[in-house]
Parts: sequence; C-alpha cells; structure tokens
Amino acid sequence: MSEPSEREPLPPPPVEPLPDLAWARLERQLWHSLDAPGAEPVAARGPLGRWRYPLVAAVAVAAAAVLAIAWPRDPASRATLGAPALAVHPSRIVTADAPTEVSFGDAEIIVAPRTTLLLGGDELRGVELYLERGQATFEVAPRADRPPYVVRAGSVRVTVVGTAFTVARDGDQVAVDVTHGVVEIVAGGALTLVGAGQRWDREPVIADGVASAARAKLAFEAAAALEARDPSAAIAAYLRLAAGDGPWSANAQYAAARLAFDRGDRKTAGELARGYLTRFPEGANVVDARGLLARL
Amino acid sequence: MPQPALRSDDAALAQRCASGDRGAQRDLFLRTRAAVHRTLYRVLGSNSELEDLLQETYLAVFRSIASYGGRASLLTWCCSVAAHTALSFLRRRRPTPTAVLEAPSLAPGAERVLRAKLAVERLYAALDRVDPVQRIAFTLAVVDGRPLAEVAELTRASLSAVKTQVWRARKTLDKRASADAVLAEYIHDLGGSAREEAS
Repeated sequence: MSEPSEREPLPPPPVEPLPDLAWARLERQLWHSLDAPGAEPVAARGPLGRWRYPLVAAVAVAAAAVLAIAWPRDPASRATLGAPALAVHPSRIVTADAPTEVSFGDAEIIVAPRTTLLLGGDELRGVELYLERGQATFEVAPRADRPPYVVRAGSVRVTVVGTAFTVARDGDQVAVDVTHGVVEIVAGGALTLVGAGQRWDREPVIADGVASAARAKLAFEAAAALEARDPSAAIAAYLRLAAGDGPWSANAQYAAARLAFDRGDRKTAGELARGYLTRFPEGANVVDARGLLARL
Repeated sequence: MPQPALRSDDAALAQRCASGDRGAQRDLFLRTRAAVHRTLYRVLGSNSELEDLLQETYLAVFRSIASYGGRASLLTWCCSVAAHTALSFLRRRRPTPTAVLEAPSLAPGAERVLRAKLAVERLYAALDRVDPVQRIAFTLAVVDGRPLAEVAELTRASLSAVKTQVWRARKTLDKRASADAVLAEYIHDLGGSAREEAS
C-alpha cells in the first residue's frame, strides 16, 4: 500500500446514467413481461438485449434472421469475436483532402475525404457509428450471431447483415450503395432491405429524436475519449453538448464539472456542479454533483 | 449515503402495485429507478448488461411486492432486490479480462484524469476476483459511501456480518494492490469512514 502523498484523493467512480431512451425501452419491456401470460419469474436470464432494437419490430428481426441464414458464411473471414471482447474506445474521424482506412470492430472502413464519422460501441454490445457528413465504405463480416453493426446518418439507420456497402451523406441527403450482401435500412419508420448492386437514397433526412439522441450519445463518448489526451478540449466538447436538451446534456454538464474538478479548477467545477443541480434536479448525477460541491 | 425517502404511504403503494395497478407500478418504478440503477452500477461498475439487470430487478420487485412487510422503506426494499439481483448475476457470470489503458502523451492536468480512469478500471477488475457477497458489501459501503447499517439492511445481513465482509473484501483487494500502485492508491482514497467503522 502506498503512503498517502500530497496529491488530491481520487473521487469515487461517477455513475454513468442511462439515457431516457433506454429507460423508455426498459419500461416498455418491463410492462410487456409482466403482462405476458404465464411468464416465468426472474431467475432465468430474460430475452432482453440492450442492443436489440424494438422499433424494428418482429418483421425486421425475422427478415434479418432469414437473410443471415441465407448469407454465405466464410469461417475464415475476419472474425475477432472469439477473442476476449475489449472495449472499442469511441472516437471521431475527420478527414481532410485524403481518404483514410480504419479497422473498427470486425469491419474495414474507408473514410472518404471531407468526412466526419463518429465511432462508438464495443464488440460485446455491438458497434454503432454516426456519419455526420461525407461518405464511408464499410466491409463488415457477416453478423450471424455477432453483435449488431449499425451505421446512422441523420435519422436513417443502416443495420448490417453481412456485406460491403457505402453510406454517403450530403447535408440532409443520404444514399446507401450495397456492393454485396444485404443491409436493413430504417428511415421514417419504414424498413427496407437493400441487396447487392442496389442503391437506396432519400432526401431530405428529417432529424428525429432517436437520431439526435444517438448523435448526442456518440458526441458524449467522443468527449469522454478526449479526457485523458486533451482535457480542455473534452470540457469544451462537454459544454457544447450540455448547452442542448436531452439526457446527454445532463450527463455532459456533470462530466464537465467532474473533469474541471479533477483538473483542480474548483471555481469552474463549482459553477458547473451548481448549474447541474439547478438544471437537472432529478438528474442521475445529483448525488455525485452534491458530493463534488462538498469536496470543494 | 442518504437516500431520498418515499412517502409515508409505502404500504399502500405496495398494495396497489401487488394488485396489478399499472399506475402505481409506474409510480414506484419512476421514483426508485435512479437509486436502483445506482445500486447496480456501484456493485457491477460499467456493465453492458445493466439494462437487463434493471429489468430483472423490477420484475422481481413487482412479482414479490406482496411480501413487502414495511420494515424498511419501499425504496430501500427495491435497492435490496437490486443487490440480490447483482449477487445472482455475479455468481452466474465469469470474470472477463480487462484491457489496460495506456497514455501515449498527456496534456497538463490530464494525468489525474487518466489515473482516475485507470483506477476505476483496476478496481472493478480486482473486484471480479472478490467473493460476490463481499463485493456487494464493499462496493455499497466503501465505493458508494453508504453507512454499514444501511448496507446491512440492503443485503439483509447483520451489521457484524457486513463489517466482516467489507474487511475481507479489503484484504483481498489489498493483496492485489500490493503489486498495483494505482489500485493501492485508489483503495486508500476510497477508505473513508467505512474503514473506521469496519475495523
């Protein structure tokens, strides 16, 4: 055990709140389970899955299952999922005038020039990417029983079944070109399956609550990933997110306060923590914010 | 850690929930979910199955609420169900390997932030090797800072049993911390009043 030094003690780990969407999903599934006739009590693991998307509904799941079975599987292809699942740290890729190629999850991605792509999720729960602008081409291992691989662009969601495809976004216009395999596309509440050689496009993309929440989550994760490397930029990113509405604003406000405190900027930490308690008196980090103020 | 108290009519609310009153069930869910979530989070750390476990907890709450006897507040009772859900989860799962963060280059002020992240990661990796019952007592008392009496209530154990569990968990963690300065430092920082109470 090391001797206590002059350093400031580290705080207890902050509680990472669940976004409102997750709570809503959880509540819906809870009532559904309670209403199910003859439902088994709790002991067995329920069929819930955080990364299952109830909005897609049974039709989408059935379609995906059929496609997954029909899709030719190559056991030698890629496949890192047998290995221990390590967290994929969220990050943001911004290209200038040259393209770049990255591996993320079990996919190869070519990010075109002048593109911004947010990467989030992990190999256990599934990968989720958000295309802010530009174009990216994905070659993804067939999903079969692997976790989902989802690309969002505005309110359009592309769920990979196992394929190579390109998503392009120019302002509110989104286009998806499938090179081989099949993807599911959900836009405006409608599900479309797009196969090899087909193109899907739609304009304009109307940003909806789901899309903005997904974007906010990824922005939060990108800010969190910046904390160690560039805390000032992380605080700035948190504050930009905190200026908006929604559950991730609350998370960002508290995260900014905590980070300012960790950096020894007590004045800013105090202002942000008090601001959090005023703006989000029912927030998930109320206890933490009070604790932070008490330590100032 | 002080918990927000429910209204005094806990028994009435429990009775309405038990009779299948969806409005009452929703009321209870909304009023307790933050504390229940916190309980699970503290015990398990950041966990991809947290959402499933929350649902498991509330299914257990609503299926057994007829047995609520009013000895503790309904909020405490729900958190107690969460603690038991966490316990059965810990018993049925296998620990997973944990990645260790590395710091390529650090900006001024970043060191502490990175240390905190590393420390949390190491703590929960070390907790994966602690007996589940001891882990629950330790995380609720030391990490979350709840009084030992409250932990005893949540885990439905005696105060002396909880003290022993916290002490044993700390011994196990200290053993791992002897070769891990980051973890040692963090356990020291988390010591707080619970250490005095437990000793």
